[in-house]
Amino acid sequence: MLTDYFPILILLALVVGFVTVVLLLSNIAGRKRMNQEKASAYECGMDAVGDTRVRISIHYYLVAVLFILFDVEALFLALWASAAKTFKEAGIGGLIFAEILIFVFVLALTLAYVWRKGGLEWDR
Amino acid sequence: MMALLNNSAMEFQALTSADWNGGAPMLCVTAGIILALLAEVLPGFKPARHVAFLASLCAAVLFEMRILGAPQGTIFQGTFSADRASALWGILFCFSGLLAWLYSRRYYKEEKPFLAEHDILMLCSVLGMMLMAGAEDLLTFFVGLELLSVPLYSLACFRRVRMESVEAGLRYFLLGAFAAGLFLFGTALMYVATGTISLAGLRETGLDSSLSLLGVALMASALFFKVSVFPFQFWVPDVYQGSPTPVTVFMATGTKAAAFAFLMKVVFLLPASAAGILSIMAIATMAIGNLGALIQEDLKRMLGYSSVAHAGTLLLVVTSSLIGDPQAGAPLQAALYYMAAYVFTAAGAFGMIAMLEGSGEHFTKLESLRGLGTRRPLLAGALSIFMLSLGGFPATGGFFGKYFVFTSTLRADMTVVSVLGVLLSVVALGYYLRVIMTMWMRPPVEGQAAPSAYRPAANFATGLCVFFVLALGFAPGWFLERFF
Repeated sequence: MLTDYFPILILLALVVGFVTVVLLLSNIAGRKRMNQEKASAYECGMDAVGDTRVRISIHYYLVAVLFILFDVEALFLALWASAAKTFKEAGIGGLIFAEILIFVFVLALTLAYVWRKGGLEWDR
Repeated sequence: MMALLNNSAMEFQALTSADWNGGAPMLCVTAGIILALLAEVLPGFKPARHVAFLASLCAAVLFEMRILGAPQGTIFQGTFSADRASALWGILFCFSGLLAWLYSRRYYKEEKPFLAEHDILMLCSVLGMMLMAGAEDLLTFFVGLELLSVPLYSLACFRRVRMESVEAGLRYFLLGAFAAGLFLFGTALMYVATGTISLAGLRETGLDSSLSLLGVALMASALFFKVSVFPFQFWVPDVYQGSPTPVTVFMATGTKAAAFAFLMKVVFLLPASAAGILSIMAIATMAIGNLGALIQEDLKRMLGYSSVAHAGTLLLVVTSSLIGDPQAGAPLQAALYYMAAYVFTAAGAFGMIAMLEGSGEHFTKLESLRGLGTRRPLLAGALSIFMLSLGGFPATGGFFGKYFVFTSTLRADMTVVSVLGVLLSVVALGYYLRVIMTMWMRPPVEGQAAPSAYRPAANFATGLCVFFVLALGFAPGWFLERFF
């Protein structure tokens, strides 16, 4: 059973080995001539100024959680939609549709709750 | 992809009446959650939330009683069992939620505007417990576990203006997330080894490969963490002490019962050779809990340690069920009886602290109980009964809980372990009796105000607990005949 996964072990060994060898080689054999230009951030970056710890508004997390909630709803709906025809052919389309409606109703209720509680207002 | 879909659609079965009957308690609680949410957002319906809460729990208990009379067997296509045991556990969870709710009335001050969320989260947790106790496959259990834990994380830090409460919540969250990860990893390993996650399937295939044993070990660790067994017990005193006391009531009774319910169900997964280490863990848990409680000056923390000790006693039943009690149903019965007694006793004991402390910090120290016997004799009397029941005095529910546990371990030939367990229970009396002594025999502290007695909900809850503790102690036969 476990032997089925042997190729993955080989791949793992190869990856780790390659990275180690390349890093070691460049460290040992590479030439190190540092100058101002080289030590600066490369084109895509910018000079580090100030503290790296930025305080993020608590609203951000609220919005993120709400986003995940309705993202998952969309996921479920997409799955149902792609299989709806099969369900219909099997004669249980109405039942599954009713179940999806209940699901959407419960989530709509949460939205109403969040709205009512002021969770969607940014300036509060 | 299409073939897969066709396949699943053909296997689809409409819900049977057994599904409806067996799932009715959970549907009631779900309806309660939805109605409570609606009541909160619809203008003018705010008080209806309490009705929704109480009605859904009462309805759930009634439906569980119905299952008790007519077990529905395995339902929802083999993922959930609505048998006598899960119905009984379900009733205990409802009571645990109800008692915690009653004790939370008039407890919070600044958090009053958020009490609706408090109640709704509690209902979610009860629903999760029911799902855990009846789960017939590992993933159903996991969904229940998360449904129980996630609301509890936020409930633990419900008094968010207090540092300890937030710390308790964060600690509980981090460790709980870790345990959930362990459980999932264990499930995955078992699936790799056996190709199934349903308990019935695992019973058939058996777990003999080293991979599946590793999976079982990980899963068991997660469960031991939830029931707080040595060496996974270190978080309990801190979390119990830091959380708001009504939430502690709920955590100490409901969570523990739910995890033990499933543990009793999956004992067969453990290899027979694990019995030795399980007994050692049980004794170590009892020792740490009882000896730790002996030196505590804070009442809440002491009860936290005592709850660890009780988990150790319950682990003894798990062990005797693993070794094989000659009376096949006895370990489960013992676990249920013990837990039933513990739910009412611990809920009462923690609830009394909630009552005494109000929203102040005092009255959680043992010293502050001085003279309570003369000032509030009824409260002191109730607390004394709870302490005696925790210690396992005759004529209380705790006594018969312990009695059933130790007779079961003796039948399973665990003589040494049983003797050690009884001795450690005697050690426990050291700190339970100390509470009673402080209340009745020492004069009150000068200038300290007596705790307010006007708390109808909490008084009612205390009465309920006292009634059940005494009833379980005086009429065990009546309960055993009808329920267990």
